[in-house]
This record gives sequence, C-alpha cells and structure tokens, in this order.
Amino acid sequence: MLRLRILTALVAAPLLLAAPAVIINATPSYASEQAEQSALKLVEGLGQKAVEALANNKLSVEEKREQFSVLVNSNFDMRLIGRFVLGKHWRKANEQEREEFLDLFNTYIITTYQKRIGEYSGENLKILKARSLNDKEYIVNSEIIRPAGPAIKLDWRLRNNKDNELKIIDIMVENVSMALTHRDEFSSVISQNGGKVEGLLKKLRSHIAEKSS
Amino acid sequence: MISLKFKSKLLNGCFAIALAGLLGACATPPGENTAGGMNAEVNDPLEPMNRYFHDVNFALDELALKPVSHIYRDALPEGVKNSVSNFLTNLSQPIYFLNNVAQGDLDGAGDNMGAFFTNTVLGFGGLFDVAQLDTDEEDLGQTFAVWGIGEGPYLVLPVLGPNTTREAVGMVGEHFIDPANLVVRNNDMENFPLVRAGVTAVDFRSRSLDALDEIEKNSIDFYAAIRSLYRQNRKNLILDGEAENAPLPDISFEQENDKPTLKQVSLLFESDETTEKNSAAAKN
Repeated sequence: MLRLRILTALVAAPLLLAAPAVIINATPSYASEQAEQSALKLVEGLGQKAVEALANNKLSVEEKREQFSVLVNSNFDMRLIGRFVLGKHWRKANEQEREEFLDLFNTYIITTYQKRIGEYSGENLKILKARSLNDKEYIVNSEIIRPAGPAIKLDWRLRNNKDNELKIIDIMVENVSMALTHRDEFSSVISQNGGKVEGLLKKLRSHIAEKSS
Repeated sequence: MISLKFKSKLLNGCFAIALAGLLGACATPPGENTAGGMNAEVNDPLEPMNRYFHDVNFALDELALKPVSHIYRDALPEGVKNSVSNFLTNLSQPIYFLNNVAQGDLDGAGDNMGAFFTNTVLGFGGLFDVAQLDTDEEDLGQTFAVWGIGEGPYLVLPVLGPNTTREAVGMVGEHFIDPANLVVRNNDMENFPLVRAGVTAVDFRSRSLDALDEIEKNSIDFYAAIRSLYRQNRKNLILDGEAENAPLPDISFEQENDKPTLKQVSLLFESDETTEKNSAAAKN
C-alpha cells in the first residue's frame, strides 16, 4: 500500500512540474527548431564522414590525417576552443605565442582524436536529439554503441559564430567536458613552468614530435 | 577485537589526513602569483604531495592492479564479469538507499530498495540484475555535497587514489554505516571489507583499462588530467547524471577581444556551488 502511494506520488510529481513547461513549450518557435535540426545534421554528417575517412583502408596515413584535419577545422570552432583552453593565460601571451599555441593545439587535437577514432572497431554513433541551450547555442545528444559494455554518452555543444555559421565548441563524454579537461591540464603545465606560456608550447612541441614519429 | 583495532587504525588515518590538510594549508604561502596562485585556483594546496602519491599509485597499479585486471578482463567470460559487477552493486544498494534518503531523493531510494530485494531474491543473491533499474552510485561524499558542504582541497590518497577532502571523510564515515559491513561485523568476517575493496578495484580497473591508457598516452600532464576528470565526474555523480542541470563551462569571449576573462574563471571554479543549487532545484 505504502509502496503504491509512493509510486503515485512519484508519478504525479513530475507531471505537476511539467505542466507549466508544457504550456510554454506549446508554441515552439519555428526558427529555433530548424536550427536544432541543422545542429543535429551537422553532427550526424561529421560522424559519418570521420568514420568513413578513418576506416577507409585505401587511404594512406597521410591522406587520412589530411582528411580528418579538414573535417575538424571545418566543423569545430578551433580558434574559440583554443582560446578557451588557454584561459587566463591568453591575456599575457603575446601575438606570436598565441598564433603558435593555436597551431600546436590544432595539431595536438588532431593527433589525439584521430587515434581515438582510428581504433574504431564496430562502435556506432547514434544521434539522439538536439535542443537549444540559449538563443545561439545547441546541445546534440548522442551515444556510442559498443559491441560489449554499456553505451557511452556523448554530447556536442554547438554555437552560431559571428558569421552565423554553426560550429562545434565542445564535446562532453559522460558529461565530462573535453574543453575543460584540456584547459585544466594546460593551465597546470603552465603553472608547473613558472606561469610561462612558453613552457606549455615546449611541452606541446615535444609531445607532438613524439606522437607523430 | 580485530575490528576494534581496525577501527582505531582508520580513525588515526582520518586524523592524519585532517592534520596533513591543515599543515598543507598553512604551508602554502598566500598570494603567490605563479605556481601557488594556480594551485589555489584549482583548490589543490597539497599538489606536491598529491603528485608524489599519484606517481606511487600508478607505480603500484603497474605492478599489481593492472596486470591482474588484464587477466581478469581477458580470461573470464563476459557473463561471469557481469555477475561480479552485479553482485558488488547489489551489495552496495543498502548504502545507496541510505544516502538517497539522506539526500531527499526518495525516487532513487525506492529504486535502490526495489533493486536490492528483486535481485537478491530473483537474481540469486545479486548475481543477476533482474530488476534492471539502472541505479546511480551514491556515497556519503555526494550526500555531503547535497547538504551544501564544499568539496575541499583535492587529495590523492596512497592506494585509494583521487579524492577530495569531503569525499575522503565520507569514505571513512561510510565504512561504519554501510549495512553490508555491519552485517559481516556481526558475523565475524573481518576480511570481508578488504576482499570487497579488492574485487571492486579489479572490477573497476578492468573496465577502465583502455580509457586510462588512452588518457595517459595523450595527456601532457597526466596528473592534472586525472584531477580534472575526477572533479568533473564527481559533479556529474552528485547531479545523478542530470546533465541538463549541470552548469556548462562558460565559453564566452568572442566579442571582447582582449578583456580580462576573470568572470569566466570564477564561474568555472565556483561551479561546485552552482552544482548544488541546480541539484536542489532539480529535486523540487
């Protein structure tokens, strides 16, 4: 009896909460729905093309890398992400350091994630849904379905940039933000090197040289 | 008798940790702008000691836990491994239940109770997950977070790995209130907590072999990467995976080109507080 009553209460509670929300959502703006759809399409297309390029055995390593790089740079706002990742150190870096950082960051990301996707073995990217975060940002929810083990939650954060192009600005794996993780890591390297951005650049250079050899 | 001894040992350990925390806090020079300032921002005043234990832990891992987990993962059939996971989860349902009640999450608590009784009776003592309720992991640290206690400095414990002060205290406290431990204590099975901890470690490690290798290979500061992942994951657990309520990192500066980004930084690091607020809002 008690269990039943708890159940009823549990079922009723979200309905009560949802009621006002439903009324507000009853008139969804057509434009935002369309934008959500294009966000969804962008992620879906990117996923397909990336797997296609990296699983294609006819391509040489160099060609794969080139294609992947093109995909990343056309779909991600790499400048914005790079700047976020450098965080407060962006301010004290000079123009030359900034440019070199963005360049190295780009190579670092491509090397790292190309390997991750390159070890692709039967996983499937399943796009679930898109929703607006605010007037210019969208979240696309997706899942990586694995042959063994539970699915991995993968969320994409997209934003309309100044030129009104939709770009990916962050990926969240099981709600862990990749941009934030890189930012924490990079700022730690900078503080380990006495707060100098050059320390991070040096570390990135040697890391990339080591990984691409 | 032995359990009493173990208790006092644990308590001593607890005091030692608290003391180390205090000493560390005193030892950090205030207002230093380079390395010290950075440590304060990521709330890691004990960073040198933490880095040391991080290295120790991964050396131990390389020697013992990783090889065992590799064998465990590759030699045992999927069904057996799933049953081990299910059994461990079922054993933890009572403490999840208590924590969910303490957090005011009656929905979650109901699931814990349902899963525990269904799986214990119909799932042969928890070996099979018949209930399929997909319960979240709950611990005392998360309960403290819901109660509004801050996470405190980051802390890497020998053998036990990444923690924050809040989580470490929660872990010790939980040892005493866990119904599973109470039952075995009354039945003179002193080794049970150790065996359980060992099996839990192997179970967890065998499922994170590839992921952790990947992070180690690709990171330029493994310690900082783990610290960031640990903190983000904890926040996620406190919110019970309700990503829609989770504060996203503030990535906003494209208009102002070279203005200080102070606001973003503070937003980013105060998000623990925001997390709790959102968590409370989600429950109402």
